Formats: sequence, C-alpha cells, structure tokens
Amino acid sequence: MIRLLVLAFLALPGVTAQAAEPLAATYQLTMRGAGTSHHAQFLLLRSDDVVEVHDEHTGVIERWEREAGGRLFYQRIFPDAQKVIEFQPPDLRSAQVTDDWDVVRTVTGTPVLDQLEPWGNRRMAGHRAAVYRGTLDGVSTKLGWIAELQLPARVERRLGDDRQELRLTALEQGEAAAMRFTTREQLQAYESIDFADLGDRHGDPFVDRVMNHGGLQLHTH
Amino acid sequence: MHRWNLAGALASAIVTVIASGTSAQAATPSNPKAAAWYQAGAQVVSTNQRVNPNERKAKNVILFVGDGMGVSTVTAARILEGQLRGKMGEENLLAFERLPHVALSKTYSANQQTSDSAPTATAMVAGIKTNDGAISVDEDIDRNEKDAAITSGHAVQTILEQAEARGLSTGIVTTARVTHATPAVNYAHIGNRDWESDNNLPAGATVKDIAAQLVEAQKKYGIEVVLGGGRSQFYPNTVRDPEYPSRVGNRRDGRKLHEEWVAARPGSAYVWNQAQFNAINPARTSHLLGLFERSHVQYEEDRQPFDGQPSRDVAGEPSLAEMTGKAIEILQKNQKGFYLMVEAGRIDHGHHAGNAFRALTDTIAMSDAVQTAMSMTDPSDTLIVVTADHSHVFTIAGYPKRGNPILGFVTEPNRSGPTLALDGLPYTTVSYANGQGFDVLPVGGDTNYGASARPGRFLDLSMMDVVKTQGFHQEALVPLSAETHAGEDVAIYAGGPKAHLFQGTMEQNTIYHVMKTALGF
Repeated sequence: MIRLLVLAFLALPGVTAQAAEPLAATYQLTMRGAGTSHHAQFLLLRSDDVVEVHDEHTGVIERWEREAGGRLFYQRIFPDAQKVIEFQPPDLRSAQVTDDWDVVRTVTGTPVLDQLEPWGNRRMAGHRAAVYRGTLDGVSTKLGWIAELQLPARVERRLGDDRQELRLTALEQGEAAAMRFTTREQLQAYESIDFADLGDRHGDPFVDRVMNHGGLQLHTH
Repeated sequence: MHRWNLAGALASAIVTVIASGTSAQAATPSNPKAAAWYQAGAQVVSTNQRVNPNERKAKNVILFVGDGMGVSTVTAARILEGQLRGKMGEENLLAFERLPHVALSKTYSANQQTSDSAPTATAMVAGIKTNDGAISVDEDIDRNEKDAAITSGHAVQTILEQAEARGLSTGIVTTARVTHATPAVNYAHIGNRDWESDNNLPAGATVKDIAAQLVEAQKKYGIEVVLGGGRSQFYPNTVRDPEYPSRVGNRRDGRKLHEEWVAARPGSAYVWNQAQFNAINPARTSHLLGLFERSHVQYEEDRQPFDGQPSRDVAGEPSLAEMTGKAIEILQKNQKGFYLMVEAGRIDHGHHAGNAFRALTDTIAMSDAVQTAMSMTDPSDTLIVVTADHSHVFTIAGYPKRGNPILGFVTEPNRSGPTLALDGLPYTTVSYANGQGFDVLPVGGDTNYGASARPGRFLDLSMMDVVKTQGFHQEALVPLSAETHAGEDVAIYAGGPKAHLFQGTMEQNTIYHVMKTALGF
C-alpha cells in the first residue's frame, strides 16, 4: 500500500523525485577455485540517468544511459584506443548486456532482497548494512546491503570449491564522484563504431583486438 | 503499361496445369504426378520460347543489391517464404526469380579472392574491379589515403553520376546507413569505406568523409532520393537525435548535413520517421532525404511488433518495399528516366551474426521491394537487375524431406523424427562453415560479438522448437569472431531492356556495362 501511495505521489504533475547524488563506488572482486584465484577492481559511477563501470585493469568502461522513456543506451568505451562501440537498444539483449536499469544501478538488482533471508545488520564499508543469506540460482549467497545507497557492501557466493566475493572498498559522493564520469567532450573525441558493424570490419586492428582478444568480454554485471 | 514477363517462373504455378497441343504431349508420362512435373517443365520451355530480347534503350534502371545474398540464401529464403504461406516451400519463387534472364557474377576484387562490399559495389556501379575498402576509386590508391587531391586522381565515375549528367533522376534506398559501402559507391570517392563521418577520419585528412560527400553531390548535381539509416553521420555531436534524445550526432565539424541537403535544392524534404515518410507527397517533393535510424535501420523482423510486444523501433520506419515505392513515385516524374539502387543491407549482418532467421526474412523483404518495383514500372522501358555483392558461408545440407521446415532439423523422407548424425544428435538443415556458432539469444540480430565462439555440435532433441525461432544462431564449424563472406559466384537476375546481355558467368563489373549500354550512355 505504501509503495502504491509513493508511486501515486510521484505521478502527480509537478512533483518529481529528488535527484540522487552522484556516487563513485570502488569494488574488489575476488574469485577463487581449485588452486586458482583471480582479482579485479571496478569503479562504479552512478548518477540519475548514467551508470559507468570502469575496469581498473583493462581501462575499459561500460556506460549505460537512460532516456526519459526508460530506454537504455549502452557504450563500451576504450580510452586507450580512443574508440567507442555503440550498442543500439536491441543489441543489448542479443549481446547479453543487461537492460534492466535496476540491476545496472544497484549491481545485484533489488529483487534479490526478497529472495534471501534477512540476517540482521552490520557495519560494512563504513555504512550500516542489512545482511541477507540464502540460495540464488543454486548458489549459496551472503549479501550485505546498504539501503541508503541502494548498493551492496559485500556479496559472497559459494558453490563447491568456487568462491566469489565482491567487496565495496571505497566510496565517494557528490562533486568528487561527478568529476570521475567520462565527459561528453571525451566521448565526442573518440571514434564511434556501431556494434552491428563488428562482424563486417575484418582487418581493422582495433576490431580484431576487441573481437578476438577479450576486449568485449563482460564483467559480472 | 506492359506487365513483367514471368518467363521460366511459371513453373511454380503450373504444376497442375495440363499442357496442350505440344509435341511433348506424346511423351507425357502416364503417372499423373509424373505427368504434372513433365508438363510443367514443358510449359516453361513453351513460355520461354516467346521471350524475345528487348533491344530497346532503357528509360529507367533499377539495381537491387542483396548484401551477402548468395545463392544458398536465395534458395533458403524462397523456401521459407513459401512455408510462411503455408506451402511446402520448395516450389515457391521469390519475386526476382521470376525475371527472365539469369547469369552468374564473379565477385573477387582486385586484391581479394573473397571480397568485402566496397570493391564489389564499386564494380557494379563503376565498371571496374578495385581493392578492399575502396569506394569508387581505382586499385592504385592506398586504403588509408587521406589526401583529397590524390584521392580525386583515383576516382572513377559512377552510373549515378553519369545519369545525373544526362538529366536523369537518381535515387538510393537502403536498409543500411546511406553512407555504408554499397550505397556510398554511387556518390562518394574515398579509399576507406569506414570513413563515413568526420568522426571516423584520421587526423590531417583533407579528403571529405562519405556523408559530407553526399551533401557535396547534392549541391553539385542533386540526387533526388536518399532513404535509409545513418542519421548520426549527418548530425553534429552537439545536437540531440530526434528519436533518441539522449544521443547526439557523430560529427565534430558542427555541420548539420541533413539541413544542408535540404537547402541545396528547392522542393527538398527531410524525414526521419514513418509518419513523416507517409506524409510526403511525391507530386510536390522533388528531393527526399529519409534517415530513419541513427545507424542501420531495423531488421525487418525487428521493425514489426514481435512476440506480443510492440515494435522495437520508437518512431517507426518504412519497409524496404515502402521506401522503394516512394522513391519510384518521385523518380518517375522525370520524363528522361531514372537510375535507382535499392540495397537490402542487413542480409549481410544477419549472416555475420550467424542468425539465418534474420538474413532470410530480410531477403524476403527485398523480394517484396522488387515486387513493388515490378508493379510500378514497365518492362519495356525499365531494366531491373537483382544481384548480390558477395555470398556468405551459409549452407543447406542433409537430405531433408520435401516441405521440411527450412530452419528446422533435417528429417528425411519416410522418417518420423530428425535424422541423427554420427554423434547421435540431430542437425539443422542450414548452418555455417564458420563464425561464432550455436547460440540462443533473446534477440537474434547482432550476435554476442566478442564472446567465446561455440563451434561444432551443441544440439539435442530438447531444443527442437528453438531452432526455428528468431533468436537461434546456427552451428558453425570453424570458430571465428564473426561469420564471413564467401567467395563463390552470386546470381544476377534481370528483366527489361538489354537484360539478355546478362549471359553465362560474368565478371561482376560487367553489370555496370550492361546498365550503361541499356541507358544508351
């Protein structure tokens, strides 16, 4: 009922939701298997209608931008090569890039909270976090959720010998976070390539790199 | 107006027709089914004997190019169209297969055994073979030549430019960007097909990007119709896209090329959505620019409402047949005649993605466009040529029974279930020799480029219904990041004045020379 009331209130003419403060969240990802381990670091930048995920190792940036009607545009940005691969809206699903804005902006998506069992509260990454436990898609999952940020402080998943941990390690908000987004000027300076054209650009060294050497591999989003 | 001669095409319609009064009658088999086949074949010969070469000069020429539409694509699309109409499929003919003259086109380029679309399209409209990536320039230019003067020295005149010089109207219709290789060869001259906007040009380039060259051509001689995709190549990077307001154009130079295009000629109009397109009155429009997407227009499958969901396109866009019809209405106003290229540009993309469904449904859409052209023109004065720039490594395999779903598993005659391969699994009739291989995606158009390839065998019986759906990607043998073009010949279908000059196996650049001869240039 409360949710309906809130939605109805927001729908009234002249009443708009308050703009969220820009946010920069640094995450460490650790994956361990039988005798193997892998570490990665990501920077998640979030404003009202833009989310960027920077892969700190490769330098590649994923950027989602939401239009007023809810349609999502997605770009894969390669600052070192000064190139941008543009995905048209239908491409997101064929490329298996999430087009769920809730997942994009919260990393896990908020519906997982209903699929897990509340397990008290803890302080994580300097914030009060609600702890949830349970099984998601057959994988044992523990989630620390910072409700005020709508972000996970920690996600631990375990299946047999395989363990995966995503941990929030740093957080900036406000102007400091806003400064870290890719600027319009930077994007305009990069060459734009349509995702649909990749199959027809044989012989292009950049396309060869991204197609054959992991440049288009997705992270955990 | 005369009607288009359906010549050998009648075979599909007369399987049950009884031929009469021919010498074949004496040898007609007594078995009724055999007799039907026999008589149908005889009827075709009888009809073809009445086909006389049309030696007249062509007033109009329409060149249809199915990008990547190899012979196997035509065959599979023919069967799919028939099956979508509730028939067995094999007896069906696409509209352009009803044209009376057929030849084979050798598609190699000056430096490639298997070509890309730039030199092959250049061959068709300029009469020469050239190198990979070259847009109506000769083979002695460096692909990355950025000097305008040097590029100009290698430029070759195109059939569109010659038509304009002689007072004919001209047009370009495509489902790709209007700056993409196949449409671009008509009006642009540049070493690198990828230099579509100034965003793509290397530093220090003096050669104009392809979109800018289209506007230069408009100012110089005026192309009457340009319809397709590629809006972002025309808008500056400071101006929001009208359909997707969060996006801006690609241009760095601040030019609004669509506005310059309109300003170049009186009676010009620019449209970017279906409603605006529908509102265009050809009688009052002398020049029409339509840019219906930022990049390529939607696949035909995605242009329509799908699975109970609305169309994936926001503003709506016309089909290739609708664009072709509008173009002809405008071009036909010129009593001197016209030249029109129509490209089904996304057959190629569907194949590169390993998604036969979209390659074939876009081929059917091109057939519909040819049908539209045939219904609006007179075969006595209009040469229609339908061909492909190159093929793809797309195969039709096994021994499926008559009427077997072309996108389904092979089921042989007198078998109730799919035929199993030596690995104990069924296999689909159509597949690819290379590419990313098997996948089932929510939307099948542009595959998961960059993901690990999945070559080889993946299918089991539980996926029976999946293989025929739009999201299915066929199996492939050799793992590559994308499925590739193929080097075998492609077909040329033709009707109208001088169409009989398409004979035997021809070099691809001969197509230009037939069109030029037909127009009397």
